[in-house]
Formats: sequence, C-alpha cells, structure tokens
Amino acid sequence: MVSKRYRQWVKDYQDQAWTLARYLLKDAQEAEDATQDAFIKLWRHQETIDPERVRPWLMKVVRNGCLDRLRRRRDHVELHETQVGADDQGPLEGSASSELGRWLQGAIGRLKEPYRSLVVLRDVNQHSYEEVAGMLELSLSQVKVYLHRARKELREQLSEVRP
Amino acid sequence: MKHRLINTLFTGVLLALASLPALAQEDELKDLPGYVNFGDLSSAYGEPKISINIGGTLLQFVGTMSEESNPETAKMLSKLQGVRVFGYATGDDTAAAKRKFADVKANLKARGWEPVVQVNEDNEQVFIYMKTEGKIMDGMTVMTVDGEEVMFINIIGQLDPKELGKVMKGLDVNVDGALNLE
Amino acid sequence: MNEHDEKWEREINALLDGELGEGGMERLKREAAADRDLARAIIEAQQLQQAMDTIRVDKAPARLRKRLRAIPRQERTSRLPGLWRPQWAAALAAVPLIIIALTLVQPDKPSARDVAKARRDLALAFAYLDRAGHFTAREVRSEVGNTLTDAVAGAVLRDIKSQYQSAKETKA
Repeated sequence: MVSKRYRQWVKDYQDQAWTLARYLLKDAQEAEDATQDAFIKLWRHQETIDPERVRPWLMKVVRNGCLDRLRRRRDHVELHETQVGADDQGPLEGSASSELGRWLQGAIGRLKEPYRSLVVLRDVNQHSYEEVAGMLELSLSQVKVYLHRARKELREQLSEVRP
Repeated sequence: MKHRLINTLFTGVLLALASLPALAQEDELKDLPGYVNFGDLSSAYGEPKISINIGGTLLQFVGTMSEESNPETAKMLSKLQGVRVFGYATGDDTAAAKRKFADVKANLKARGWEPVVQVNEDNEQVFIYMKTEGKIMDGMTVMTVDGEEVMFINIIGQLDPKELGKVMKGLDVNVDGALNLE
Repeated sequence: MNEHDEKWEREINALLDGELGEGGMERLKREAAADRDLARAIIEAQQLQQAMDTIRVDKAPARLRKRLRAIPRQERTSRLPGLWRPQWAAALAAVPLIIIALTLVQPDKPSARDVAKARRDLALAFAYLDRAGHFTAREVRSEVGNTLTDAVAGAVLRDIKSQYQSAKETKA
C-alpha cells in the first residue's frame, strides 16, 4: 500500500521535480542526485506528510536541496543580489519546441534567486500562487511582486533579442 | 604490527562514530520551519569556538533521563526539536559578523520570522527573532556580537522563557562557569 | 518603478494569469491606446507568454526514473539485519566491523556518552541564551514587529522583558 502510494507520487511528480532541479543546478548529473535525495526524504517522511500537500512539500525539499548544493560548490554564484554567470554550463537541453523556447530556458536559468525558482514553479511547472508561496516561505503578495519583476526582466531581455 | 593495525582501526571507528551523529542531526533539522541556516563565518574568523547541534533524538534522551529527577526539564525538552549554537571569536573585528547578521535578518524576514528584540550599541548587537504558526512557536533565533565573540543560537520548537530558568536549574547550569569553559 | 508603472505591471500580470475580468481588459485596452509604453509592455508580455507556452516540464531521464523507483527497495534493504543483506559481504569489507556491530545492536539509540555530552552542550546553549537575555534587559530600546498581535509572540516578549527586568531589579 505504502509502495503503491509512493510509486504514484513518483509518477506524478518526478518530471516537475527534475525540471526544477535542472533549472537550479544546470548540471544534469547533480540535478538527478538532488532529485533522488528529495524522493528519499519523501519515502522516509511519507507517514507525516498530508497527502494533499505532497507536491508543494516535495518541490520545497528539491529547491532547498539544490540551494544547499549551490552553496557548497567552490565556484558558487551569489544567490541574492548578483546575476548568475560563473557556473553557467551552457544552455539547458530541454523540451522547448522552438529556438525562442530554448533561448527562454537559458534566460530563466540565468535569473537570480528567488526569481528563477518562482518562474520555474509558477510559469513552467504551473503551481498555484498559494503553493509557490508555501514552497518558498514567502507571503502571497511577495510571490506576486517578485514574479512580476522576474517576468519584466525576461520581457526586457526578450525585446532586445526580438526587437 | 597487529597492535598498530588494531589501533588504526579503533581510531577510524571513533572518528566515524563522532561524525555520524552530527551529520545525521543537521540533516534531520533542515526541513523544519524553525530551522535557520546561518552560513559559515570561518573564512573571516577561523574555526568556530563553539558548535552545538542537538537534534530530536538526543534531546528526547536527555529529557527521558531527566524525567524522574526533573520533570520540568523533561517537559520543556519534549517540546523542542533542535538546539543549535555556533560561536566565533571576533577579535574586535565585528564587520563580517554584522554583514552576516544583515543577510540572516533579510532571510528571516522573507520567511515570516518576527523581530522580538533588537539592541544596537556601538560595538554590541543583539537580535531575537521568532517564528510562529498560529499560536504555536516554530522556533527562536538569537544573534549577538560584541568585541569578543559572535553567537548564533537557533532553538527549533517551542520554548517558554518562563521555563528556561527552571530548566537551567534542572541541568545544574552555572552560567558564569559554563561560559568560561571554552 | 513608479506607482503608475507598478499598477500597470499588476494589471498586465493579472492578464497573463487569466485573472483580469472583462472590465479590466477593456480598461487596459483603452489605456494602451493612449500610452505607447503601456502598449509595448502588453505586447512584450504576450510574446513572453507565447514563448513560455513552448516550454514544457522536462521529462525525467530514464536513468533517474529507475533510481527513483528503486528507492523503496534500497531503503528496506538497508534496514535488514546483517546476514540478510544481499550485499553484506561487500559492506563488511568496506566498513569497520565494530561499527556494524554497534549499529545492529542499537540502531538509533545514542550512547550514554552522547547523552552526557548533549546534556553539557544544552547547558552551555541555554547559558548563552540566558546571557543574551540579560544583555537585552540592560538596554531600554527594543523593537516589536508590526504584526505582533499574535498571542504567543506577544506573551513571549512580555515574559522575556519581565523576567530580565526582575533580574535587573534584583541586582540593583
């Protein structure tokens, strides 16, 4: 019963967890490890998690795990104020169906935190505002304000690429 | 040769045993809402002069052992999920500590922690923050710096300051003596 | 960004999120007709939205999916007693025997030494907490958060202040 429930969670959330880890870490191998770590925690804590809240719980654990890995990297980027750049390992290979989509994936990957997580969780993974607020431990209004700023930044970059 | 091998094995075992609980405890606390990541000041001040990280399991055991002799201690400890303390000797250079405080405060504010006390003097600062969910306290954070040291304290769980005095008595704490240990 | 810009940013984002009603959309259209910058911002926002629509959630690679499915088996296996572990021979070769013996006998119970050390560490931790409290009691200035109507936070603040005020008075 427990295994069956867990297997359903894997099926439902592995792609979203992987997508988030991939955008945050950019390295596929590390993103796999981070995703696995999060699911191990899910397995171990499954009795204490509200089944209705598994998805936001899992995404929060994925994100926190990725941020810990970023901090531990020797050449880690500043998480708060400066643009990501030093650990950019090239464009993300994703499922974008167009050149514009691939450009956008790269642009999202270059956003600073928490903007990057916000865009991935809200616009790519399609979580609700309330879920995103819970995952990032921000208020609803903070999520909206930060997301607006992130989208504005992407819009301005897009207008330079496609005048 | 045999004795040397056994000694090497024994040293390795002691080292392994010493490191396992600390890693496991930090790991079990990270996902709790009252947990605060203070980062690392060793690049500015060298190795921490104090590093305490006690998770739920050990706390429960200390509580259990205190139950008979001091039920108030046991009761207070049963509500805690973690106690973490990190301290560095600042040697009169408090700039790095104050920068770290600013970072941590920004993070706490973003996560909904509330400032309870703020004391700001020339070379001494104390900040106390609390995190609550409804009427339940998730954690308390205390940060202090003066000309001699910077301290970060993170209590995860519910702490009633009224009970703190009784608990310190129960743990036989001689404040001056305890702080002179290091 | 000024207040005017912020207002339009909120409206544009509400439009992108499908949260702008018909009235709001009409109002935005009218304003855009008179304001080129606003019109451009709306067009850019729509272009961004279209670009977002081409990005999908990435499918987890096959290797990762396999690793995730294997977690329950691995977690269960790691809790089996020594001789039943399929890889016990390799594990024994890699890990000092004494650790395995201790883990098997008392899987999660701290030793008496650990507990004694924890007790001393707790005493030290609370001593530092107490010292911080005494220091704050020496000063007059304190700052209370804006939303401190919460019963718990308010009660704790009063307790901290009164506890250390009494200590201050006693010493005086």
